[in-house]
Amino acid sequence: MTLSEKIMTIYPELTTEDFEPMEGTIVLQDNCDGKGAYIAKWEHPTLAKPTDEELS
Amino acid sequence: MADIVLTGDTSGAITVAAPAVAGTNTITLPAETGTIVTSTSAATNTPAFSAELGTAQTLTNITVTKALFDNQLFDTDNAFDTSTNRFTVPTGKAGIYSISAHLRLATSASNLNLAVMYLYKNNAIAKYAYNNNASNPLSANSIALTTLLDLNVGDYLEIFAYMQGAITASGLSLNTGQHTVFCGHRLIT
Repeated sequence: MTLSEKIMTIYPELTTEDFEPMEGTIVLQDNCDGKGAYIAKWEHPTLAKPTDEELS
Repeated sequence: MADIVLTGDTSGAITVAAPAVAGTNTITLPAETGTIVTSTSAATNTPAFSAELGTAQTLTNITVTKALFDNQLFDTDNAFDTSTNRFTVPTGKAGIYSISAHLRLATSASNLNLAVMYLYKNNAIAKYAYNNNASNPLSANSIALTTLLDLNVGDYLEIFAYMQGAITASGLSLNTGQHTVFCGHRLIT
């Protein structure tokens, strides 16, 4: 399961628009350095950033 | 008079010679102080580099992902690192650079709503270009970007891609070869 799928499982109310880099409040990034995708920005007005435990 | 020879105070000489062809030509020197550029001392548009995507790269939906330009076409100053997919301004080569990139983003179905290309400078967005097709999702999309950047020694540039399909979108990728290119060069100053 990808990071975006995990987040959307935790918060089903999120849409792909929430992840738009220009206008959304959440940015997921993958530097292709072997470390995988990570949350580069989380500025959602009501939902808390998922913890590492929730995403594991 | 065939040639004019200017002899240096201690050594060396400069010879001004007319070409061995018929006709009369005139050279007018500018009313300025400076060095006249000759063919052997002319500046060049380097560093210059160009790299392509050698292997199709799978992307994850709604995730900003670095594009992997692993097929280097040329690199005059060994400034593009294919292990990091990063162009770094070499020592002594600061200046204005023309940077271009082209991506072709594809899906296995016609569900591509938004495609974005980012030019990162020192791990932050410097420029971006995008195509929004949410009203008519596509199976593929091409994005191009050209810009001028004032770069210092050690500054590094990378290209990132972003695709937004349906929530369940799969089969997202960057196409290889001439579809997906990252190149640039320093302008003569």
